[in-house]
Amino acid sequence: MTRPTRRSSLAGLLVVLVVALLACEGAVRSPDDDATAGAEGARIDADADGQAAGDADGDDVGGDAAPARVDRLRLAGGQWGSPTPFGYVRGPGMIKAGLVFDTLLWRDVDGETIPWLAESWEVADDGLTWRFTLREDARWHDGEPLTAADVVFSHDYIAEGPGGAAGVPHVGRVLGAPIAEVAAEDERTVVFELEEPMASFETDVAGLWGMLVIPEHVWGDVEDPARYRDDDAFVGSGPYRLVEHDEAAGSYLFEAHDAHVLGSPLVGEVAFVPVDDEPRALARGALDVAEVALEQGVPEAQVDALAADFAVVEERGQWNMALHTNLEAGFPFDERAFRQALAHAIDRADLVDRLLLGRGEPGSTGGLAPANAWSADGLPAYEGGPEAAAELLDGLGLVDADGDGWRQLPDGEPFAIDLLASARYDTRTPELVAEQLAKVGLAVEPDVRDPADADERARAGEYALALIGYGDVGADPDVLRLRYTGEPQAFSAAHGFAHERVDELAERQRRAVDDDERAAALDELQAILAEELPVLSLYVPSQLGFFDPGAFDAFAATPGCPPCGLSRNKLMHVTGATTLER
Amino acid sequence: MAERRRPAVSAALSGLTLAALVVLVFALPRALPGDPLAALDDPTSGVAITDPELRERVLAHYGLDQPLPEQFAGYVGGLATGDLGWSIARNAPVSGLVAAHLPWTLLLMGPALLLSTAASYVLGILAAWHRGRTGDRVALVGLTALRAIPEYVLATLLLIAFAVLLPVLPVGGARTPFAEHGSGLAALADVGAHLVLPLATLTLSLTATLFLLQRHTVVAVLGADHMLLAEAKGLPLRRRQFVHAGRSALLPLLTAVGLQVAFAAQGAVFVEAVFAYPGMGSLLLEAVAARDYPVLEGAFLVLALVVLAVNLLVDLAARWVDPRSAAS
Amino acid sequence: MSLASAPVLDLAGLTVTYPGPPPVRAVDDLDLRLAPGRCLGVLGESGSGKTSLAKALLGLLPEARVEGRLRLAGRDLAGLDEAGWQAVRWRRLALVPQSTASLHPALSIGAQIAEPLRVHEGLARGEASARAAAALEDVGLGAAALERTPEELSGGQRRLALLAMALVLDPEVVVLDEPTAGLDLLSRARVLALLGRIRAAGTALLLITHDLDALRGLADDVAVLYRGWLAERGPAARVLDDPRAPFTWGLANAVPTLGDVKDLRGIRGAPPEPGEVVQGCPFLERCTQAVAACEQRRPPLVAPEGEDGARLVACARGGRVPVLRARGLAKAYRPRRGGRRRGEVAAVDDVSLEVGEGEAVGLVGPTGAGKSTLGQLLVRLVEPDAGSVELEGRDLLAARGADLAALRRRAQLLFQDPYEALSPRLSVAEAVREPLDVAGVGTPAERDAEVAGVLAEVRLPSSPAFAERRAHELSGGQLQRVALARALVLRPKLLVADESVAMLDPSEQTKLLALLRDLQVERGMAMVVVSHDLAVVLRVADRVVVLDEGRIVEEATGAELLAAPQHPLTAELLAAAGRPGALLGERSLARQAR
Repeated sequence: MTRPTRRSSLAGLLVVLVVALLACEGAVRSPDDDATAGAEGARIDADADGQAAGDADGDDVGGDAAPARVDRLRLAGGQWGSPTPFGYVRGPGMIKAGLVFDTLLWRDVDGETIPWLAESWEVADDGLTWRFTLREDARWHDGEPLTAADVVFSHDYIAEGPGGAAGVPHVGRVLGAPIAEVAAEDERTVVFELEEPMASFETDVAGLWGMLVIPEHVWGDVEDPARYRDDDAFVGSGPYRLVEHDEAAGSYLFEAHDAHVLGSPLVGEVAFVPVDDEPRALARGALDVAEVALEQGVPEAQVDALAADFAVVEERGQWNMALHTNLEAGFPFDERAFRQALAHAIDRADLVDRLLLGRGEPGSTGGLAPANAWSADGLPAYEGGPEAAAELLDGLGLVDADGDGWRQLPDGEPFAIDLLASARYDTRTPELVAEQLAKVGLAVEPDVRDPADADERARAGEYALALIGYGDVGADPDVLRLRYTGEPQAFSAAHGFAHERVDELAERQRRAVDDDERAAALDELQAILAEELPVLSLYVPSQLGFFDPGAFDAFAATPGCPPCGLSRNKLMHVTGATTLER
Repeated sequence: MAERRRPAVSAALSGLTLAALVVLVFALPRALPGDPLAALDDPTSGVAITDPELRERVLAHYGLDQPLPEQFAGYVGGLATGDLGWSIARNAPVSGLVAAHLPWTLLLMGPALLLSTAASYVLGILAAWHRGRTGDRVALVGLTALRAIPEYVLATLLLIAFAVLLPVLPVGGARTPFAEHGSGLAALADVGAHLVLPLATLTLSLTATLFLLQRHTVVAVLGADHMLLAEAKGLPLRRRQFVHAGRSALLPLLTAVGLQVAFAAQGAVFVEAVFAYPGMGSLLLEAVAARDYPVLEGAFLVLALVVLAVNLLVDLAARWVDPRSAAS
Repeated sequence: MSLASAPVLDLAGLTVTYPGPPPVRAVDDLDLRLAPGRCLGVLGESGSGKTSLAKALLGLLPEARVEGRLRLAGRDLAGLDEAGWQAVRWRRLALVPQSTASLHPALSIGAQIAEPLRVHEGLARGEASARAAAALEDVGLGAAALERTPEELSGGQRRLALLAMALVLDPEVVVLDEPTAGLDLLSRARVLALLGRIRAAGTALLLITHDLDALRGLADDVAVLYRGWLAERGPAARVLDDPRAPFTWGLANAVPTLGDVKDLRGIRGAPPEPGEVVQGCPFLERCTQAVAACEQRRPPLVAPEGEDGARLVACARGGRVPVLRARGLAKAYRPRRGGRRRGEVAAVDDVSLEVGEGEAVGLVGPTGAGKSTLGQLLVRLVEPDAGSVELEGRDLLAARGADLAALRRRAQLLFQDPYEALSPRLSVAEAVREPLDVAGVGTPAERDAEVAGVLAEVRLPSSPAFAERRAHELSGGQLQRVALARALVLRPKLLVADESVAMLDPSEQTKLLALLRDLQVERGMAMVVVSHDLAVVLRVADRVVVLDEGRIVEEATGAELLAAPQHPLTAELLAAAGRPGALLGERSLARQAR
């Protein structure tokens, strides 16, 4: 009889499906099952301990009366890699890795640097020596003490060891820092010796964007850190431990580590839930907070509907959409007057109204977000409108000689500009910009491309005019150096712009030892940029969030930390407050 | 002789197909404009690899600094040892990613193929039997219209209807995240509830094509001499419909199903995107967006192998239902 | 045997109409009866409504209107609902379809045969399979076919499988549509034997077939269908051996039978289009004996003249009419010398002969048997000493004057030697035209047209150059054709051809014989072919008359003659014609030697 065997091929298919289903269950990562099991019970009395620990270290939890415990805070998930120090992906991945791994310092929502693993720190007058004192009771999740040696190891593992090859943000920052040596003076004291002063050291090495401290006893013999996914790879010192990670779905569940140096975290579990649309997920109760990406074009009706049902948090933005002019594209792009004419012709306030529903502000001509503490005042705003633009264009010989409504090049050749844009953002932006430039007789054709393609062209400078969006305008102003000096490396770099004084000032602010010196350099730098306008920041959308205040209400933006958004600064999860005073 | 040569020939053909596939999945992603390392840049947070030295190191880490032939050799060498490479954008082993995503796609594609085949089989016979009547016309117009609707549009419509306007089913994902189910059965029910809409979309979409074919085949079969004899034999209606007419039409239907497997995979990709279903579609779409070469190579290869394998299963099924197909 | 005589299948006025436009009557007012243990043969061309009849019997015509009485064992089937039909189909009335594609291509033979058992008798799989195997054994296919698919069987095997399927429930009536088509002779014999056994067991068979031999052996009665209409019905022997309806006659001549050397003939023309509404006899257009009455209305079924009514024919003329009827013809010649009465030689002695519409009768016999004399007597070239000759019902011998002239035109003689008929002075055209001129038919222009037409009919060139030729300018074959044209130009109803091909070479002989048959199909005339060569006569003649010394010694169909010559002279003639083994007495020896 051959029938049964034939049948079995169909049965085989079913078996495959069932096995596949089981495999899904197995794919869930659970680094420490015991921890998961014990978590519920352990959390209850941890609150008081946490408070006590904070007080003992002389820290004072800011805000009002002790906030209520929150069992679980549900945030939007996504596929951001594995939250190991070298397995995460980009900013959002860093936030998740940051729940498990701590840095020496951190930042509150006022933009103040606050102690974290280090309870205190000091910098020498020459700005070359940074000394950190670790908290006394700092321990790894596995109970091993966290020592200065671990900090030294964390640095050396990147600078000299295999960690340097991992393409994760903090590695790039550590490698980019002029660090001569890191040494442990004793169990709790670690010293960074710099080759030259580094103004952003607090942020980019010690703080928020900086070096995740990793346990030497785990990573000491790991040769390929990016691929290291053993349970030990998730042993950090952070306030949370990973309980569950579904790589395919993009969900993460973190559980409070009650023995954290800052005390038992207020939020018992931080869950990153995969959703396709945050506002909709909030509306149906799948999330506790939804952050709205205004730059992607959100319907006004949706914003209004959310505002009616939920509490609103709106903060000045840190992300901008900028018009880049590639000076290498030749005449007239290499003419300052032309770039200024563009600035006059584009009504940026109008863009804010029409694209961002008024929730945002025009960018600063100096290149930093207006809300950035380092943003210079009194920069030209180029509000001359079409008349001013026309005058400048006429002066360049870009006139409409044949009367067809479009300006030609001085030699009479037609002048048409492609405007590179990414489909990642609201495509009305290039359309509106083209529309406004058409009013001054400039023929601009939007060239909207697939994000990867657009990013690559932006990086390689394959454009004359491009609309590029990025979020570092709210970050440490050292980004100005990266954007305007040296060989362009990133998609957000200015192309073809070379200016000696800018180079000089960029270096000066980088090495500034005190804030006043840095501010002076930055003010002048921004003034030059506002005059030269290789990049015109068009608008900065507000950071807008909606939440149900009943669940958790400590939402705020963290300056210089776009991935922190309004809800992902771990300080808020740990303390339920938005600030931590020193 | 011919019978004995066949397996060798088909094996050679399969080998060629595989070789072509391997080359294709290597070449295609690289033909796309874009930089795989851009996946490490983060426009939202403004994080980018700005240090040229670091850039070189990362490129070397992924072997992307080597000339294409060496990259290809490395890729093929990896395949030979079962290593699909390392995702740049997801910072994870491709084999792990595939293992995490593939089961969901199988869970979507397999039942969709089975259900659409069964539905087309039954509906096609009934429509052909009652051709010209109201039911047939409704099915014909409805499914022809359905065929003209792209999967993602259909998916969106279903999503709005059953998850937003009438929120009886979850909007997306494959499971309720972090839900603690009392029993395995409840967990299965949760998976089932999430599967309903994507499965319905893909099934409807596949059924539209298969139904039209099945109806057409059965209409042709109805005039056959053996159908008259079946009636003369006094066989009950259902038997004549589903055994006699159906059996004749089953082979063309299964052949069509075989051809549909690739479309099913493709449809699954779009349907998954709409329902945020964590299958190969989500993996692939994101990998395309990020120009994640290793994932594109691995995922395409595995998906193509799945299509080939399902085709093989369909072929076996066809031989089972109709021995004539083995000879032809 | 009162039960046996009660018909199991009783059709009266059965009419099947497919809705139009135009509506098509596939079966038209059909009356048939079939008793248990009997076999009713149904003959007909394709499109004659045989399949519609079979479908109507099984209630398989939902798309058509079925009227009239349709009774199975006394119960009316008309108006049965689907469930009622379900109870009739296969259990009581099974079908062996003509198409071997009626087997499901993807199911095994065993499954298909077992299917009715499982559905109707509710047998379990194994039991049904065993019964199916037995059924296959019964038809001689063997149980090995059980697991095969139709594709793995030959056409003949598939037919046997269909037969096994029809018999598996032991139904009261089996409708067989061409059950022997495509079978090799051995299988065919086996099938026929099987059908005989079934019939003997009491099953009624409705046998739709072209296979006249099968009908001869199996059928008790035969019904002939023409366009859904019953042309003739009666006992098999009468209908098949002595068809009376013109259509049956034509059909019998068009169907090859074993043991016959006669050339096949078709029926002229084609049946009317399915949707066409015919007022009169449906066969009218193709009938060679039609008269005005045939156009008026459908002919009713009547018994042919002189029959008892067991056989009925639907023909306004009562069936095929006799063209020539000669009775008791006698002729004696006196030698010139002496002039004594005693020396009288009886050339023809008391010969009676009938030739019907469309029939060819061969006259054979040795030299001096009186063949030519008889031929001449039939057309009254020679006055008989005694007897009568009727031509189309009129007395040829009694006719005088104009009547005689008119009758003479209806009977023409074609001589052995065309020179005798053709004057060397006349051109081809003049020779053919002469009879018309003599008879004074039509205008000269009409006569010319007639001449051209008849020349074309005998396949001679109609060019003016040819028409102007004289007899000596023509070949023997051409000359004989001119003579034929001359005989035909008056549209005779009887043609007596006296050794007409004897002087021609074999190739011309063949062509002329073929021409004669074609002409007969078209014109429907009666033909008497006189020849000493039996081989020639057997090719052409429906009936052969052997003359010896002025008397008829044997009269039979060619097939009968070949199979069993009764008279020694016939055997001798057969031997002379190249069949030495056919000599009486030697046949059995010859067979043993083989």
